[in-house]
Amino acid sequence: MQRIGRIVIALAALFAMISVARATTPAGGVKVLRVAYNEDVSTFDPDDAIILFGLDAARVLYEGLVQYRPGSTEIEGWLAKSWTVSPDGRTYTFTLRDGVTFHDGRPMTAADVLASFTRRRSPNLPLSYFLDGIQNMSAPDPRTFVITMTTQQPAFIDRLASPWAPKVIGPGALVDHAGKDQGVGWLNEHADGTGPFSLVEFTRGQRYVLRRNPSYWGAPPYFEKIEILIVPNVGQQMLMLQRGELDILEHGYPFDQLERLPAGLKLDAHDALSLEMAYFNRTKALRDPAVREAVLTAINPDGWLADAFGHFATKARSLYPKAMLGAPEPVRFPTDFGAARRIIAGAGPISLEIGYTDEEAPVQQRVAEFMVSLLKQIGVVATVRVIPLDQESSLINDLQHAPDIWLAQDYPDAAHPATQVGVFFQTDAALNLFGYSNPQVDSLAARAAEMTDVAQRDRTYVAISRILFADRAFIPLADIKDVIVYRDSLVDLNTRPALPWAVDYGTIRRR
Amino acid sequence: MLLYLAKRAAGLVGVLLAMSVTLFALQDIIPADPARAAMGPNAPRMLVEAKRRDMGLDQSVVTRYCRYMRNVTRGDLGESVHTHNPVVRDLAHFMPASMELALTALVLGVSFGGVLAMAQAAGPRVDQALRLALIVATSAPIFLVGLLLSLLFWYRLGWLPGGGRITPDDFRLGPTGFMILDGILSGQGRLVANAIEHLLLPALTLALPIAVAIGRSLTSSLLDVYRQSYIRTARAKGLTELRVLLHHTLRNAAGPALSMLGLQVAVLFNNLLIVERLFSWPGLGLYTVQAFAAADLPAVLGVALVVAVTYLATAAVIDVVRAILDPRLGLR
Repeated sequence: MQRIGRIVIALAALFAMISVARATTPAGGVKVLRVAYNEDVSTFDPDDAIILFGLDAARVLYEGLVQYRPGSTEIEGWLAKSWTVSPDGRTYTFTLRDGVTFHDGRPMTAADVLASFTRRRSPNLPLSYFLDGIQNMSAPDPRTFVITMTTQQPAFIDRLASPWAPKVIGPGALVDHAGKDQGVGWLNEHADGTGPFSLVEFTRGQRYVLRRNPSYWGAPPYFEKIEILIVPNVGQQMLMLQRGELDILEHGYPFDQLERLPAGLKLDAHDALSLEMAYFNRTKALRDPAVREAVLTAINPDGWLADAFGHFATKARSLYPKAMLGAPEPVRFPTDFGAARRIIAGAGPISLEIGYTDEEAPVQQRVAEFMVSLLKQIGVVATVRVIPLDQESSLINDLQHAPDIWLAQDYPDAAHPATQVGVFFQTDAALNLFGYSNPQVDSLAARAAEMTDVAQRDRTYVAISRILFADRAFIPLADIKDVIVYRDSLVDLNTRPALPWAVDYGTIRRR
Repeated sequence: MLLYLAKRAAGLVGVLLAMSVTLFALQDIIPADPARAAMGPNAPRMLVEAKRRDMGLDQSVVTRYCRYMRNVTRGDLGESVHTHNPVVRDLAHFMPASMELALTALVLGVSFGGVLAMAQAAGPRVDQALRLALIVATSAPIFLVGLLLSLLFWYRLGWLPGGGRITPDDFRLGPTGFMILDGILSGQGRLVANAIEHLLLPALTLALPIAVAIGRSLTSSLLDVYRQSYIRTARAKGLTELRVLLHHTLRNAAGPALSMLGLQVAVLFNNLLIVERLFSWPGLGLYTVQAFAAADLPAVLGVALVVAVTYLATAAVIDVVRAILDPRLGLR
């Protein structure tokens, strides 16, 4: 027994020594920023995938021609110091910055931009559609890059400012490591861009390391190194943040804990481009317009928004996020609960299923729980179904077995309303999950996409929103803010509405 | 022995074939869309259809299955939708972490189980205390045990790391992917110590149910054997208690515990998914979770095949060890 006691004491002493040693070692040092992603970045190849986790790393590895300004959806030059648009709106001429080099030291020229854009247009690359409608591209001199469109597309410049826009990739990747797959294999876990950081380590499942690019053309970043750890459990990320093992938690901090953050932590809550929407599946219980009206009365965000998200969300004014388009009047939901009860009582027993993806569960579970409770008040029995993210796009294949109400907070490609309509609302749009189709909407969308007068354009898009809401096909619910929690020693995060779950690693610094 | 191994290999092939058929059939039923997952949520439907053709998803499930199996025989498990790498390469990357964790958990579990059993067999006072401890340990779900260990030893006391496989500053990718082995091979003692530190909490979490199961099974076998007349004879001949235990008791009592170990290996693989997520362990569990989220069917199939092969191989090894310990059992 005494021997066991001695062993226990010895082990305790050993652990204590380890913990003291660890406590006296600064976590990563002053010039290292440590963040965590919930999952691996599938690829850092800017042309090969839509990524959410990893966008902030991707944008300091690669740069595009233009970008959105911090805190806004205004567009500014990036690798292009300026650009002009021809009077017919079809030709964009970009003048490139001087003194830009790739991570391997080679100078960037217009020929590199042309090579990168040519690669992006390869139909076998998933993001090729960003450059749809281009008639011709050329690099008449080393500092000039010209794009000619087949028709005028005012949203084109927004597509170039999108987080998933084409970026300029160096010849180190596109020539030296081109292989037989246009460099796809190499670029999967390597990077060759012009950004303020270079990718020095990519270990799937564990961590990625970015190191400051000493020959960067712009202001040098404060941090010498960014360490990105893969920590799938948000709860563990929160504890790591509190212990000082992480500097930033970029996504997933529970809303109900944001009001009482532990000492030493701050939050940045900013508008995002993702709108909280409900899709109505109008083929089952919601086929009846009167039932739709009654259900709409119950799920009115006025009844649950403040309780669910506090001051981190506002009621939506249209089917566009407010960072994209400020609609003049709020959406009007019916408010007569008595009438709603009478409709449901007359329609017979109504049961509805509310669905959302597992990936959005932290947000949608809160919304769905409130909706279930409110629907019960009008006599509707509602249940909740969570489905894997990979099955969301297949809902359209079997509407009879799809949920009646689908909750989602998806991202359009860019901050132009055309991308919102093109991704969600038009016939055959990628995220038109229940197959809604309205020729009037398609026609208005086609006209709006060519408008250059912003006021007229916005009026047209608001009109589209009203039609969609009047049809009770898409229900705008809320603008929920993107919330980033970070250690209070950090400043200059420079978040952007169009850049989900991301800070600017190029400007962030420690006080 | 050779006949036994041949039978086992044939059984393995049969199981793998049955499993691959089942998984392929399930793929066809589950409404996941690998083409959409590969192209991204916002890609126009036309591009997704083109990708679907490119991936061969427009072909019948039989055609796809035959092509898959043909490739498997060449060592090609396809390309992961999520990581865009060959699945074989991904498995080689993620598997060592899981294997290192699983092996450590097994060693800890068997050791603790053995100590528990011998302590229980030693006397009734210890038996009562341990019985209570066993009930508590078996009642708690594994995620709760892991969470409590993590909160106590990492968050509160700061004695051990709460997640990951290595402290980043010490990280060096070695030739085998087994951190401890790589540390020894490269002569980096600090790396070995760091890797062990990171292993302790997840391995302990995984080891507890194994220890309890092995401990219970071994205890009852030991008590049975201790009642045998040859043990009385051994003691009467003046053998020390340790010699009686090691040479006469343990060897004869190990059979049921080994059978239990075989069952625990299957439980261990299931628990790996939970524990790897809880401790951010970069193994097959993390790979599988990410693969599911991305409709990454080649990756899911690859993991299923690897786990099945590992489990069946382990079961075969356990059978051989049992037969060596007790030749009456033989190899059937």
